[in-house]
Amino acid sequence: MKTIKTLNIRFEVWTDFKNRVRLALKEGKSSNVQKGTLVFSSVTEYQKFMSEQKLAILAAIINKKPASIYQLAQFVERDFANVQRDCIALEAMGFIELKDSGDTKKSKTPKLAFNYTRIEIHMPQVTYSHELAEAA
Amino acid sequence: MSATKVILNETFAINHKYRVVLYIVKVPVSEKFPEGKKARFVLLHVDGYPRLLVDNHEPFGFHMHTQLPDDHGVRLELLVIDHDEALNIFLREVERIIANEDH
Repeated sequence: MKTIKTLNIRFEVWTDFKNRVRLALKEGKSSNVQKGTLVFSSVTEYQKFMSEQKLAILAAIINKKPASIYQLAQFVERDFANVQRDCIALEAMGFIELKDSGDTKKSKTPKLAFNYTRIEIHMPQVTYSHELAEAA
Repeated sequence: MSATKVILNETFAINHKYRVVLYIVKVPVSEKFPEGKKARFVLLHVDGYPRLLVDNHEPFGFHMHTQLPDDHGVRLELLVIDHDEALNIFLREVERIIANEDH
């Protein structure tokens, strides 16, 4: 049976992140992000970043294995400069890596950060309450 | 050969434009890393260039690169006693950069 490898997107409030990391260091514990996980500050920020076009780029990298960004731009039928900008952003956020292809043109080969075929979004569970008794 | 041990390896997309990468690893004591720890705290922009970098190699000790990506040679020495303090300064500076960008 084919195993589906997953990139997990999780959410954490910036203040919680800072406090967690600081506490771990203070207590002499190690603090490591879960393998195959990227953490965003909110669902909104993730949605602002991850456009349909970037998802199409990731799908093309998985399914068509382009040797260069130029070839990738052809696969997704978009302008090279825009695809290059999206690839750089995807690399900066940890979704892909741009490897030197070793050719004389110094082109880059887009590769996944690791071998995943699915992105799973773990929505934060939000609980809130209205304190009615105290308001009376 | 001494084994390296990762103490801190965290990454956090603070918004849709910036990601913070925090990394501290134990390394063999050397002239470059006399405390036996190598630290690297980076604020990375989606344009692929870092905006802020704190690291701790000699001869500078803990220092902050404040004029990235234009000038990697500009270093602000951090008068801190350990990586906890250096991390706090880095996190505060990250917040300042993000806040300034919002305005």
